[in-house]
Amino acid sequence: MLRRRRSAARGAAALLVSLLTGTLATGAMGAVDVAAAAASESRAENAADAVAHAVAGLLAADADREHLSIAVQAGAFCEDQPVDVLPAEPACRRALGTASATALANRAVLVHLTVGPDPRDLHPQRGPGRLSTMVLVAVPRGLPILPARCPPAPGSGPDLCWAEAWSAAVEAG
Amino acid sequence: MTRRRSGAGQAGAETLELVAALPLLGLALLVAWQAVLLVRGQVQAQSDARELARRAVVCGASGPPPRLADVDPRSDGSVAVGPDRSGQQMVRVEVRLVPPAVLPGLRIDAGSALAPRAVVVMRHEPC
Repeated sequence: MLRRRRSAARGAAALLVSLLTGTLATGAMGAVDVAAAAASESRAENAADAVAHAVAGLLAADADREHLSIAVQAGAFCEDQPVDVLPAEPACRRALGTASATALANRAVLVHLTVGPDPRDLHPQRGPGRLSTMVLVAVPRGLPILPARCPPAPGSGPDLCWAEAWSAAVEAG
Repeated sequence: MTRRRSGAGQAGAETLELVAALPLLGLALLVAWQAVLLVRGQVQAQSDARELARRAVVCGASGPPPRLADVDPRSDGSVAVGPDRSGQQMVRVEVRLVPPAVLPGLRIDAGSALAPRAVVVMRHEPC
């Protein structure tokens, strides 16, 4: 009887230590994942802002911006997707290049870029008007615990692996 | 007599186990709180870096580079502003913060791997 009680006491102590260790390990893993997720969200927002700002700044001083403005007012958007692309427009090419370079410098991936007309300037006889830029970027979350495998590019799998953020910039005036 | 002694001994052992586990529990809480402070510091570093980068790329920005105290007077840390490798028109701002340490004996300076760190690269605004 005495032996049984002693072994039960030892069992309770072992259970308590196991529970505490398990709680600590789970909490630590969760904290690391939450930290990585929060940091990647913030990084994605910064990268989206930087890309939108860079493209808007480039186009504001670009020598061909008036051609691009008239083209987008006519209905063709300057995008990185193969729909209504304006690759012949030098300003559009430069905008795409600047967007990709800025995203890369901020350790992000450019998912989508659209340069279009400012709706306030969409009326007849307006001529070249203001341009609006919309950007979607993705940043790898870099979660150290889960998920174990991530797709190499955003949009090709569960988005737990990538944090996305968008930003827009409209010319003043 | 033997049974009473063994019963009291068992209760004493359980109390001892509880007392021994309490510091461990306290340490776990401190570690969790330290993790929360580090996450908060990371988000703060990203916010500071964004604001400092915006100030650094404004057209006509002159004088000394922006300081951390200009945007986040409560935080302690370091700021590095300079051109980025990706282009001469790109400005790279790196912020490292010194997070408060709640774990006894733990000191985290701005150069530590645990210190919150953020980098933002922005393009100079045209004049």
